[in-house]
Amino acid sequence: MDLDFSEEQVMFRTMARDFMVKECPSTLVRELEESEEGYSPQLWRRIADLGWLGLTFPEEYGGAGGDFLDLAILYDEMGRAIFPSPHLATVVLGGHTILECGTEEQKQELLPKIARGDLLLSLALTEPSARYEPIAIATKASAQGEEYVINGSKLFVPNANIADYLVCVARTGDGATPEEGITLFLVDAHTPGIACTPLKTISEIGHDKQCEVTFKDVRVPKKNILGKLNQGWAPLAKIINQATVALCAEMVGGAQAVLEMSVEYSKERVAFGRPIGSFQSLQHKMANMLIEVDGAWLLTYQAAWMIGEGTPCAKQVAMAKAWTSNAYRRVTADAIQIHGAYGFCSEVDTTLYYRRAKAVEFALGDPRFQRRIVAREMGL
Amino acid sequence: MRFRFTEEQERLKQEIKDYFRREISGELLEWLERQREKDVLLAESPEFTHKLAEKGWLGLQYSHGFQEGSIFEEGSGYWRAPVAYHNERIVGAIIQRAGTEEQKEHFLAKLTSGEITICLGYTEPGCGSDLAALVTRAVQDGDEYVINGQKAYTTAVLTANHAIVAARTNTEVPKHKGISLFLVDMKSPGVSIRPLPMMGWSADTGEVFFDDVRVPAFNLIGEKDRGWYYLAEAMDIQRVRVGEVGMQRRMIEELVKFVKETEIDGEPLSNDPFIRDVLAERAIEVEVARLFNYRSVWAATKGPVPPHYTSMGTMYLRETSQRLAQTATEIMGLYSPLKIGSKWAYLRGSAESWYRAAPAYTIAGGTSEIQRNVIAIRGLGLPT
Repeated sequence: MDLDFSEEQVMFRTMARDFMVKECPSTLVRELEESEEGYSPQLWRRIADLGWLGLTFPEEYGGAGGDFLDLAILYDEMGRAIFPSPHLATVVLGGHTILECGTEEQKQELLPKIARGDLLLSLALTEPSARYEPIAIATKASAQGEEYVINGSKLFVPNANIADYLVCVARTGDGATPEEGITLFLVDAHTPGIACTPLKTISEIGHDKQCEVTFKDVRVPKKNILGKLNQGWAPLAKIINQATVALCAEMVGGAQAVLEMSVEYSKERVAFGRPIGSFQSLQHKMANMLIEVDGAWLLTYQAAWMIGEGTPCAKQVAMAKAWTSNAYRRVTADAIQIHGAYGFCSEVDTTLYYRRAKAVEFALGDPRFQRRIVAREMGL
Repeated sequence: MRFRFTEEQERLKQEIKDYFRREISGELLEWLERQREKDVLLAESPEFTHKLAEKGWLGLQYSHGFQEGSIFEEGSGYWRAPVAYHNERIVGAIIQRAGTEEQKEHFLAKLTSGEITICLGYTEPGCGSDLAALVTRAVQDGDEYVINGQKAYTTAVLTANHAIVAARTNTEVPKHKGISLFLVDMKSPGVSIRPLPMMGWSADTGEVFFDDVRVPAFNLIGEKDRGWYYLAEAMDIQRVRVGEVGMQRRMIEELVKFVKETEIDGEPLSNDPFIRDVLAERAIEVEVARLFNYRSVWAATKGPVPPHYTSMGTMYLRETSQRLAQTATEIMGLYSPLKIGSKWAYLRGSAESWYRAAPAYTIAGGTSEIQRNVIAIRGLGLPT
């Protein structure tokens, strides 16, 4: 076992952290919460120039050829700063899907544009049933000549309001299992018949910004199928795994940040003539927070490392998401408790993290869903 | 970054696994069951310990490294191998760190051959968490020390042939600065032992009294009066509990097997959503406990282990163990209080014995409260 990052990874992390501290103060995050887009196009351009959009794409598609651990490090730092961006939707849910199962032509055309910051994507997966399972895919796509016609309703689609393309998960046939008959379509988000309604939600920045997207007789050329007809679930499951770990890394960064804020605050805040951090009731609370945070770090980087190595890791990913979601939620709540009424003020960062933690707890499967996967993987 | 062992370490792990699977069977298994009936959960067989010593496995920590020693310990925990190892490993590390060349030559070989077995003479009736307040005295007399005092709640005191005794050698200095460590032969005149039956876990716990016990000065480990610091360092090893990680992994596997094979109203228990959820939750916690403990192992290969790493590892593991015991009883319901040997007892009554042993987990080797203090003060830098 070796838990050290390589020298390059340490340098990359330092660079990412410095960038976030300088370019993404929490005042900016709050401003962007009020914006319709939920992100800063200027900063998006900046991170494109730094190579962070194509970080994991091979060089022939305009990427940096980095591995999955690099991506985890980036998400860790973005989470720490609550960097509001459509990176998860565009790069992981969109770009990685194209990388995983797109044709050479699709990769050549789309990936360099994503890497340059010229194209935003999202994944239209979940529906009003709010489940991340193949059985929940009811949106239908039927073949008509050289096109498919999509009808259905997608809900909780991240960043659909700004996306140029949507990867739409639709049912094209019935098979023996719910996985069979699912196909991925690359859909121009401005195709007639698509209606997008942003939802008002607890956190409206970055990928927390969610939309309802309805498809009414939306016509898509056959060549826009991503991967194989009726066999879209297998590559999608792989992408969901990757996105889940990216989300975990983002939560790890956020959780670490609020724990540090709590420790610093409790050293300075004086009550009854002593810093409140000297009271055992608070010390033990913060010790528990460190257990949550370090457990999240270890499970998350273990899963990220396994994805990078290409070893099967459905169980480890589910463990990471189950633990980290709970950890982030509890740590942000504890942070407010430690800060007292001050920590409950909208202008104090604890409230940003607290709201964010609730949004990501359910994204890509809540802890109960993840534990169902763990149980299955344990042979139950 | 690498979240697995090296290929060589994997081979060692496999070899250990194959050996235990083969050897812990037949008569030995029956003997272990009889020990369990007598409530000895961590039985130690001198013959088996010698066999492992001959394979060189008790000295892996010195011959190969901390990771290899831990791989052995996790394996022996998983297979419930009746071997004296953990305490011997702790004392071996102290001697290696602080002992003279002569002491290393004399004691290390005996510790890794199974000849010397150890109980930890730290806790006294008047001090546990505040260990530095101990009052057992050791006074030099020529080339001997004379020890007077009492140790309490000492695990393995009835079976071990040696004790590492923390005793006060200087009363003129602050309490941390006047403690020394002695390796005491339990057969020395003046040593007397009184069994102290506990509710569970171990049947070999007791008190030990020292009345003018004469110990050769050669058995003073490290410098006089600096014992507290060696002891604190040794906690890094004492609190790495990969052996217990192995025991927990085994318990989860047995529970999974149990719920798949046990039917109620024609349906296996494994179909019950509550049981699936709670077992997954425990499995995640055991995985975190495993990672915490191997993080300490990894840190130990690089230098001094941050104290809060081992406190987190041991405390989280032990609290998980208590939850796991509770989960086992919830799954078995009315059957769970049935003891080993009883008609209708599931899994040889292990839920009952595990649950009954559970309160000790967050006390022995440092209470959860002390561990949280260490995490807060040493790990997070909070003020005292």
